[in-house]
Amino acid sequence: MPRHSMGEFEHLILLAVIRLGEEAFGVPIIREVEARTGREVSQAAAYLTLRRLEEKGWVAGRPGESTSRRGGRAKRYYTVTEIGRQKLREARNSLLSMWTGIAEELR
Amino acid sequence: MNRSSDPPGWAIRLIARLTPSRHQSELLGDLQERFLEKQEGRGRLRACIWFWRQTLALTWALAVRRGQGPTLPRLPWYEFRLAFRSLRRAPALAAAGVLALGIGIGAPSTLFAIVDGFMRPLPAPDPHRIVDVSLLDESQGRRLFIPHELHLAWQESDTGLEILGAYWSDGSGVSRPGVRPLRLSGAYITPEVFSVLEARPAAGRLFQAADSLPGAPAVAIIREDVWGSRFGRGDEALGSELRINGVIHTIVGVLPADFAFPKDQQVWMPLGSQPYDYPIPIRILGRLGAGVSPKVAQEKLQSVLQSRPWQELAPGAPARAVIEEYVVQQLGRSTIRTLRIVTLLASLLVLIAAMNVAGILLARGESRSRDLAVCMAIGGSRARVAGQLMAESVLLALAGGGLGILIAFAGLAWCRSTLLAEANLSYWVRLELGASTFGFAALLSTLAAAVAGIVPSLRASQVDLAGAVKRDASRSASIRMGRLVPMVVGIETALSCALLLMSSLIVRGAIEGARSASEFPTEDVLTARLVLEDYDYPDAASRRGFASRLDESMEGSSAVKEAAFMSILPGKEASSTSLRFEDRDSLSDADSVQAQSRLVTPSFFSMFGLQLIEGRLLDSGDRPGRPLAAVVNREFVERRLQGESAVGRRFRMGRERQGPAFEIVGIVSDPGVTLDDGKREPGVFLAFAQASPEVMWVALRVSDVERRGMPALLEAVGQADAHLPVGRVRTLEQVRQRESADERLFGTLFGVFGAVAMLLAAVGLHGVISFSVSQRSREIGIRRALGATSGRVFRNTVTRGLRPAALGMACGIGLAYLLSPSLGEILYRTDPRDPAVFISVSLFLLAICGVSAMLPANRASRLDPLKVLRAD
Repeated sequence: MPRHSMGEFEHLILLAVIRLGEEAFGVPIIREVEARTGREVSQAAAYLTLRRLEEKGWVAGRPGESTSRRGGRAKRYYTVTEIGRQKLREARNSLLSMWTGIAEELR
Repeated sequence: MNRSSDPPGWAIRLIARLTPSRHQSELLGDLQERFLEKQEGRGRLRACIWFWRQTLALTWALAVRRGQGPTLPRLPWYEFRLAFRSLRRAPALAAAGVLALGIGIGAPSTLFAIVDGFMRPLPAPDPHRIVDVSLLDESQGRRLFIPHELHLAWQESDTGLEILGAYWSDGSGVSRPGVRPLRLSGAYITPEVFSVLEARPAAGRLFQAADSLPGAPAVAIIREDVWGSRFGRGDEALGSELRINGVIHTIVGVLPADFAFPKDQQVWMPLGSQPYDYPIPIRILGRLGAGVSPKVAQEKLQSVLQSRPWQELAPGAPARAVIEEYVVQQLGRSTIRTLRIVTLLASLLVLIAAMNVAGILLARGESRSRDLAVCMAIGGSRARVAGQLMAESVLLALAGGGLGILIAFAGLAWCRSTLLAEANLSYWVRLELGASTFGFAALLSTLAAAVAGIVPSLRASQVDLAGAVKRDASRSASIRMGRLVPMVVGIETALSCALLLMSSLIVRGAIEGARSASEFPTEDVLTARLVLEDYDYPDAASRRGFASRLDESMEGSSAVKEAAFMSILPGKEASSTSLRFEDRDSLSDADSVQAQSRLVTPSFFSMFGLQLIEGRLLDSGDRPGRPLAAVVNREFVERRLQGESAVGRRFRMGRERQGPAFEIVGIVSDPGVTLDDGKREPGVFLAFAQASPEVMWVALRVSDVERRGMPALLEAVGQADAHLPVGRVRTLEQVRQRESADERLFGTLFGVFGAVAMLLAAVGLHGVISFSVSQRSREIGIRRALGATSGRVFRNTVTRGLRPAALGMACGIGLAYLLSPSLGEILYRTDPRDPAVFISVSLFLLAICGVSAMLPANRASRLDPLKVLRAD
């Protein structure tokens, strides 16, 4: 697989980060994906995916504030970078083109 | 923050170890936030389970899949699947193997759990730093009294011990107006002891320094269960008054029910507030400072000790300060050593079981040698074949380990409810399956897997390909067995022999111990101990008055059929006294005789079945003011007077020439205590009324003792003295069982071990020996064809089958001969090299081996040579 292809879970995480806007850190991201897809998301998967997306440069992280509810540990907020947005658009386009004409069949 | 709302600490540590530090706060913070959410919604347990699942997933992803952590070896699932399938095809063999290993792992694990339970650390923070400080007289190996001033000097100096407290435990008579008095186990204790143990009160307060000052108001602390049973946990308990040992104490605090320092105490008084007119044997408890070794602290204590002369110490006694961990000191080093050896010994059982399984696998490997040969012929490596057999033994050992844990669980529950039900256990003892027992069982399982698997695996890799594929493997020796089978036979015989010998010795010791308990009739007898303290009974006349009042109220009770008072219960060893006869006029030690002396009331003789042989028994005429009378037992006459006439002779106690003289008035037969050499102890019975001791035992025969005994006893004592607590109320049978609790525990356990070992050894030896003989059926066929008679074949087969077994037995006997002296005190009155045990056990094993060799040899000698040879 080429290095810059997008996995399904990466796709979901990127969309969740965009949807959450200013509030995108670990917990709400997971909650967003869980609520919208109905699947359970493990911390390991979310953490590793965010690491990978950050390495690829599709998201950018910045340290946030810490709360007592987190045992005094700092949050890390994410935003989708311009490259990330570009990748999302490409992925959407390829998916839409793949879906064209067969949506009726699968209804 | 409240600790109980935090996620599991171990999981957090694990994650922290696996993740790079720059991402930790993000990851752990997210996890904690979600954890709290789950906890609020679904409860802590499910939240913790969730947290661990997340942790494991992370561990898997970070450490294993991405190779950031230690890489785990790939598990040979394929081999295990094959092994499982192959075992499933032979369910009976597999079940036998699992059962053998289960017993072999379960029995030693039970013992391990018991020993481990006795050696639990004190329930206090840093328990291994809590030490007992004692003073030893090295020349005689005895403990010396620690003077109060020395304790203070130690406390004030820098000794490397953070805190030093003193305590003294004693039975305590406790009474309260309007409530039945009772004896509790109590301790006098300085406030520092509570600091050493970091005890927290369940209600009220603990002692303060002021409570220990001379003349301070008397205060006491009770245990939570006493608070419950005597005060119904009411708040009015604090501040109410208890009469303890004749002094009114005010209750100031309650300690939790799981605190019972020093052993099983229920009530505590401050040490030092009451004056003592005699030196009390205080014990000292300390907490080692962080990083201070016991040795260093011991040297510092010693230098304080030597800094000035202590008058209270025995003059010239080479006193030495000794520090030992509290629990270790309580159990005693030699006991701990013995317990360890016994556990190790019991672990031999797993080796026997493993050898059995090795035998099973070997025999199976033999019948499967064609499969294996085919497997190798089509390219399977030897390692692959060996691995598969190894996998079988690993599977069996896993299942056996699981079964073993179940057996240990059941065994422990059984011990708790029967053998140890009456035992007086210290408060830190916990008889339950702990992590260490699981670890021990896991260790045994690993050992079993290795031992059971290696032999067959080695052998399987020596399959003779062409031969195995060609021949019918089930009937002929297609594989060179070499020395493997005789080796298995030899090792198994050696192990079984050693274990059987040692467990027989232990069982014999236990039987001796049980037999030493006397043969007095114990039915329907209830006993109790009364202490007539000097604050209530200052002189002999007042004690005599109490005894006669008690006697009257017993007589008046309709439930009591017989009652007797004595200085010590029958069957218990009394203190040995030296007697000097008037007509042997010399003070040399050679002329004094030793005998156990007891004070008894006249009814003692009829109650416990002592028969008069000559003269008369003690009677009501033997009272103060009359000549002192004594009755001796037959053993006294035989062993101390060499059969000379006894009645009418007069003796004095101890070394005195002028003291009161006793006249022997009668001789009785006495089913009393026996001595170490199995002979009965010479005994002297003196009239209770002529001495009136402070500590007295009462025994009363009551029909339906379980139900009516206690009320009858309490009523009678209450009529004689309403304030007197009644202690140690037990039936004579219970007394006997407590006496021999240790012997019964080890005796029963080793009886079971011995039986199991015998069974495993018999089955295993039979299996392996008959297998080794049947291996040779082809060779036997050839011999027969060449003209050997069936008798000759039979003899030859038996001898060759027995040779390794005999060699193994010799090794086993040698091993037991070397090891058995280390069993020490468990071997109660038993020679560790008792020839009777060695001979009978050896004969038994020899018989098993003989039968095991003869049955298949007989079959072999009857084989039709033609059939055997044609099978090629």
